[in-house]
Amino acid sequence: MRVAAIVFSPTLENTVPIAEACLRFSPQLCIQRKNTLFIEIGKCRTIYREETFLARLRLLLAKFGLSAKIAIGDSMLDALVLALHGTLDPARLSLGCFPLYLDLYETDPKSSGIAQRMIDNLAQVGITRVSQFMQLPTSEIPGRFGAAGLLIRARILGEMESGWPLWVAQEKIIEHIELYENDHCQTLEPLLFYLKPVLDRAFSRLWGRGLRASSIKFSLRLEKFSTVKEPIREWTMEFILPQSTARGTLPIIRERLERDLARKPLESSVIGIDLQILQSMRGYSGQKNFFHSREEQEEIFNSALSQLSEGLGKGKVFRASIHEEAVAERSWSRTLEQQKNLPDLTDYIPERPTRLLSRPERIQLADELLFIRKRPRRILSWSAVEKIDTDWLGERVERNYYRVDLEGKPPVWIFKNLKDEYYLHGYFE
Amino acid sequence: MAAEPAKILELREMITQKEGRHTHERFASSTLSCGVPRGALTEVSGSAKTEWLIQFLRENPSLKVFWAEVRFSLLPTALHQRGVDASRLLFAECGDELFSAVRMALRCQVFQCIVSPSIYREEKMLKALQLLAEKSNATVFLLTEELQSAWPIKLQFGVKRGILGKGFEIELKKNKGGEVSAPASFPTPVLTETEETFSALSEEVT
Repeated sequence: MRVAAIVFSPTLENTVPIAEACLRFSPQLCIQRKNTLFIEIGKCRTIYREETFLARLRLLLAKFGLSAKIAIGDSMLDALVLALHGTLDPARLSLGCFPLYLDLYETDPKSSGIAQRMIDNLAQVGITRVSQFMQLPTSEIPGRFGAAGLLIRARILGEMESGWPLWVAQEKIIEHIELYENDHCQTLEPLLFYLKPVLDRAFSRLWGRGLRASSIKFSLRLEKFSTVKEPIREWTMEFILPQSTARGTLPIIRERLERDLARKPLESSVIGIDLQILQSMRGYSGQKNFFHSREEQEEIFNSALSQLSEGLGKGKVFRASIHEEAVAERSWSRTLEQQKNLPDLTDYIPERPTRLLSRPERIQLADELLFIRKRPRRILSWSAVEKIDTDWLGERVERNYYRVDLEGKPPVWIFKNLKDEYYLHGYFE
Repeated sequence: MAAEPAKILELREMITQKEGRHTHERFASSTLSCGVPRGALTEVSGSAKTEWLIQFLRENPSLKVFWAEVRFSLLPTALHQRGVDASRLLFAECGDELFSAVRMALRCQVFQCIVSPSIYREEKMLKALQLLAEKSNATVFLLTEELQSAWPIKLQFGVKRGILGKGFEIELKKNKGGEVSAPASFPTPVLTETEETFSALSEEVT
């Protein structure tokens, strides 16, 4: 196997266009890792040599106006390490390559943190090179660095390869509609009226393939008067949750157009609308369920979520994913997808407060008084202690929690740390 | 000749139906005998308001909920622990965009229940929310420290924990159109003394 790794510099957000152009070299491409393109060229060695490939690739990159670090190795990891660190020699290779070995495609957001903690811990005992790390006895690694340490070691030795998520160029779905001057399409409502059948057609084609749209581009062609400075207006929309119907998508488009057209109205009537599905992903099954409408409900909910996100901004609207975790701030995370299997927390975690402070607040205790922001509150009762002590691999938390009932105020959730300091962390409002 | 009150009520109902408004539907609540009106604003205050709201959501498991906050401090784990399916809730951290977020959520017509902090001091904002709530037939819960006097709000009450932390004590301040009784499918809730007092007061006023 011979793999070429192409790491773009400066960072390239969308690698799909260049990947499509690189299909001339090999059908086996991977764009799973951000800003990186992998091409398997080993099987094409009878068609071209590596030098020819490199020369052609550089020419192609120049056509696209891109610059990149390119390296060829025996595996994806080797090629990427060569491209980013310039060597595969363990004596020269720094531990900075650990995140690559741990999570090549950067799919787990926690992996870089784990790798960095490993690097810091090893640096404290004077280990800075891969060769030094490889001299550590294998039996010592799981106890100190867990599964992550073993995985890195196995990948450095080439005992465990990363999978190759194959990328296949998508068929383009393009729809358009021609309009006339007497259609008087220059404002939002007629625009949405004419856009709907275009969307309907595009989504029907997607539905037939069992797909949903996650990104679309539509452009409006305007009547070319001499006063019109921008005869084509374009919008690219990335839905935070894929859409499968025009009914769900139109409100999202309305939200965007309402804002943009208020800021910059159309200069003349629209004479044509072009719509292209840029990205799609697997959808629901073609046949609706006869006995329930869960998928439909989910679709409506997702559409509302996308619409709200369009208005408020990404990350502002979310669902909650609950985790089986005693540390309250880690017991849930923001997500967009519906959580399928909710954990059963009964008998595992005592009842948590309804409100949690983003940062615990220091409080003082004196006799039967609790001072919150220097205001005294009379304590009525204390609950039994709940000890929380996490493992040392993650960010360690050692706290003793209490629910405290106060006079005339909602009960509060406080903790005492190892230094015997008290903090307010939440309240049962 | 004086018209019969029943006929007037019937006529009123016909007019509201023609206008596409829904004034007589109420969500059941085991702690609030009058229920919670749909398509209207409800303001809740008191030291146990969030706990009460969570119980209300548990009692109405089919509701799709949009929970908006200026700075998100709710702990969804607590909702899950108290028996609320978090998957039917959508949360939003809105900052200064709270009003437009709630308005947008109402315009979606997907959510039957919307929760927001009560920071709308201008009556025209409340009026806008009330109209949208009526149109989408959704209940908007406004959580506040102190109840305000604003006519677009249909139901206002304060909630605190009951004796020994069991149940809730509800102080009803306002219940516009409160003649609707608890739905028959739910057992008639036992009122706390305070609630009875306020219900009686409200009836007297009516």
